[in-house]
Amino acid sequence: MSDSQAAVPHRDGLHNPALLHHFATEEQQRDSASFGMWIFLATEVMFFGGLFCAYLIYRRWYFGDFAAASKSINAALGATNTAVLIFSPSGPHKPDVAG
Amino acid sequence: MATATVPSVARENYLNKHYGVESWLLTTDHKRIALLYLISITFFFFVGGFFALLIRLELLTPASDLVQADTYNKLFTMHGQVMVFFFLIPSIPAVLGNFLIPLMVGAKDLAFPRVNLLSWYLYIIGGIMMVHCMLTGGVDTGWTFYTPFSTAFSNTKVIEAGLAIFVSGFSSILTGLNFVVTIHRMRAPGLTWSRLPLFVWAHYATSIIQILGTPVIAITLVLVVAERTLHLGIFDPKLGGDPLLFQHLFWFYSHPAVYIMILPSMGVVTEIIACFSRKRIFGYSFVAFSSIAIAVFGFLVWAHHMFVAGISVYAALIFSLLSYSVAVPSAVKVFNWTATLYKGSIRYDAPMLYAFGFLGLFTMGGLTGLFLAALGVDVHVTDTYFVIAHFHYIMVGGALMGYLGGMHFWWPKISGKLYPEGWARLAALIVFIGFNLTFFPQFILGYLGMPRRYADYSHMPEFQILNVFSTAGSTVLGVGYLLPMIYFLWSMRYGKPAPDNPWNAAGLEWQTQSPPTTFNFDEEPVVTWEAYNYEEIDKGHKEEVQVVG
Repeated sequence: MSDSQAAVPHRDGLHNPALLHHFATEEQQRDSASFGMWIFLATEVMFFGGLFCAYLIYRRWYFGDFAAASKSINAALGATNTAVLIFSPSGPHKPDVAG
Repeated sequence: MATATVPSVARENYLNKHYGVESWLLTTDHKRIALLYLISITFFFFVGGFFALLIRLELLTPASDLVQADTYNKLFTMHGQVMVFFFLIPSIPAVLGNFLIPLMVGAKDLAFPRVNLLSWYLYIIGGIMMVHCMLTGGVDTGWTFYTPFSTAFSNTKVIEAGLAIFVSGFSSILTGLNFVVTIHRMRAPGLTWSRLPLFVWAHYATSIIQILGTPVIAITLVLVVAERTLHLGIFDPKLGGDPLLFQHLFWFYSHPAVYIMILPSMGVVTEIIACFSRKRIFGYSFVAFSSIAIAVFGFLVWAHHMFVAGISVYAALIFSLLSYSVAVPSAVKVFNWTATLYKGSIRYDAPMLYAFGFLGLFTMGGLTGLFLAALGVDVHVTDTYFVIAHFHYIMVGGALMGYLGGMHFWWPKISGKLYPEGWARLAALIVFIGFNLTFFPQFILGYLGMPRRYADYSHMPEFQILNVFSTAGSTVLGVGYLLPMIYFLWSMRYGKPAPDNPWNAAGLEWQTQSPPTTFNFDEEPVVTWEAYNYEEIDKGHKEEVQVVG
């Protein structure tokens, strides 16, 4: 790895060891990581968007059936589950350079 | 600018730095991953091509004599699924895009090298599932998986094929994600958006479609599998579902998927035309933003595949109008390429021949697309060979010509070797002739009323003559596709070593050595010039004449 200049991209040798070889700066690495995550979330929205689209159409078509089926849902369990999902992102973060 | 153009065999590069299977299968180098993709998609291209030849052989005679109708259904289904999902969609982005985007933006790698490797593995897992599915019986639904046939009636391997495409879809999503982040965050100092090569712009637009469209086909295939296995009533009317919902969801991805294939090809052709007419591309920002416009409009036209499926007449009117609107940015590109050629110093090297082929064939494919966007004409030619001819002009005449042109243009950079120019020009000519001989008769057949997906047309024996032309053309086309594979492989061993910049082309990828080192550039490049500064290059390099081929 030492025979080519390009193989030692961060020549100062002083940088954060978490800085990956192909990024120039920590800021660039952090920005890329969070931007990539936002794009990934966009793909998730589109993935489940198809499902929600189908759900909304059928909920409108078969409103009575959906209302009847909703009676079999345990409200307490559902509320707990929803609360866990909503608050789980606010857990501890690893404050490293990869964001 | 590249100064030393005499390559020494012993120079270290990404190909000779490490050896061994592990150094390839565990690599995170975008260039090696591009080569892994190249080998994989070439395999699937010839698998899909094999099915195509069988289809054409069956249609040589009116009776269904080579294969039974059931087998024929499987042949065209597997041809479509392999070619669309395992060849065309990954073709230019995963091979040329993967190889070139970091080089073109002056970066050491894509933003997420390990995600890049993951995307290849997802592709391979999907590919193995697809091969297994083909070897154990195949699918007969057509590549479109239309319900309720696919969920309630077909007794072939719908689930396995659906899951194979589901898995490989995530490969496509991750590639798109990687490109967008790389283009936004990894550009070299001075490389502003307006200085980016238009190849990068085209891939940016492509990535938007991959990111926003592919998840929708993924969930659609999950719903098909769920209905088939769990009998959830989503698409089957007997269970209260709506088969049209499937078509909406399917085409929401699968129409934009055509732009996943054609946009990168347009990017390749832009690079080639600028280089071989030695001019800055005419109307740079129009060409750049027309890519984005195609990506955006592409999401709004899906229902033109459903004009005869029973959608409301008002929806059909609007989708017809919107489909016409895609022609505007496409035409902007074609006119701008033509204007770039005007008064250029044109050279007819093999990449340029493919680019010319693209121009003619894509324009024909695009204009016949307008026939199909017109409601009245569409009713007449829906599900006929007219449609088949139209989309092959786009996807084979357009996307594949661009892919081959790009492979020739960047082959010296990828392999460090020159391909034999004479053979390459001959292959380009054979492909162009073979393509037209195969698909032009299909326009006429379709207009006369020959339906697609029929193994037997013995009730209309007068269609045979045009089908014979088409089958003859497909064998010519097959030769045209085998030739580049043979001489590319030949050149890897026997080809002359390529200089760093054999075409005297603009663009950062030509300023590093051929083949590049693992980290692409010895020094981080700083860009102080506009894209396609061919006038300046040619002024500065008059004494440094290079003979190629």
